[in-house]
Amino acid sequence: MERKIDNSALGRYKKRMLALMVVLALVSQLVFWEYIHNHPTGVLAYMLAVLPALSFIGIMVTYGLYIAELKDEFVRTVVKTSLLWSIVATLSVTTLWGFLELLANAPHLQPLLVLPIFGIFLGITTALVNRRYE
Amino acid sequence: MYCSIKNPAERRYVIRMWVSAALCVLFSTVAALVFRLGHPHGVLAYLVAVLPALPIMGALVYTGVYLGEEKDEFQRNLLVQSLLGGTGGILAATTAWGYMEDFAHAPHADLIWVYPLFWAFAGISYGLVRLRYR
Amino acid sequence: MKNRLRVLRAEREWSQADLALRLEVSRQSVNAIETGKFDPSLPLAFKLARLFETTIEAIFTDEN
Repeated sequence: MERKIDNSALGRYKKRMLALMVVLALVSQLVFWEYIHNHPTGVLAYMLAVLPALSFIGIMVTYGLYIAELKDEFVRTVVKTSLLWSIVATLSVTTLWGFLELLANAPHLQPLLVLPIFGIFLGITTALVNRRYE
Repeated sequence: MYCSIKNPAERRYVIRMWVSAALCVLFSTVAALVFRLGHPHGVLAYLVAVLPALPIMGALVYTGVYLGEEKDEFQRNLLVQSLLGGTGGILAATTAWGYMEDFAHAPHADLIWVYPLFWAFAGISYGLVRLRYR
Repeated sequence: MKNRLRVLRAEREWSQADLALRLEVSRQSVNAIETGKFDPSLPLAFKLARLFETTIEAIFTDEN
């Protein structure tokens, strides 16, 4: 099956931006791990903690802009459907695990894992939605 | 205006969302009581703990189903944009909070609040989207 | 929505990919519209009509 790629100049720009943000996220993550082991506290700690988060948020924003400017309405529909079912699945998991943690002393699920979990579900739902339309 | 309920599908949806919220509160209370008074263990503990999450998962799945049922394209589009805004918001929030928990020793937040916070972000998005159509 | 896209394509000996290229959408979009699994927006429907030199009603069948 051919890949549905937006090969316009705009699409390429967005993809490069995305790549840049991924690199930025990795770099700030590494820098972060390096320096945070010196345990700064207070406001500085919060500010440093926010840096990698901002990178990931930047990645999401870039992705969002890319979707918003997709010309192909069908591909846009597929992407929106996949995103929505992914968030349904992700929220189900967090709520389920939240209650298990609260009541049955299940091991703690890091909030940081929510985004990767969402990403995994996104891969699954995208494949399923594409299959439905084939 | 847009706040009034226009059709059976929408009425069903709103009612079911409120019912699921009520059931969640009810099941949470029951589960908490069972844990306080009965001290269940093992599999039974997990089953009881899972109970309050079930109405939430139902509500989530039904939101997806309702999107397929809603005939009014414009209403559907409004809801989709709100949900996507909610998705972006909650993913950004959990990622940011995850980093703060890990590195800035922010207080640990319960995962069960991810779901209501998602709807808070969705509500904000809905407001923003409606502004565009004023 | 039922449509005559396959017939119209065959008349011009266009593949789905050819049609997709002319419409500036993906081949997947063309397939989804043709098999009735996806309804195009008005702008896209008008584009189709212009491309096949006919009207939207001549391509798509409103089942009501």
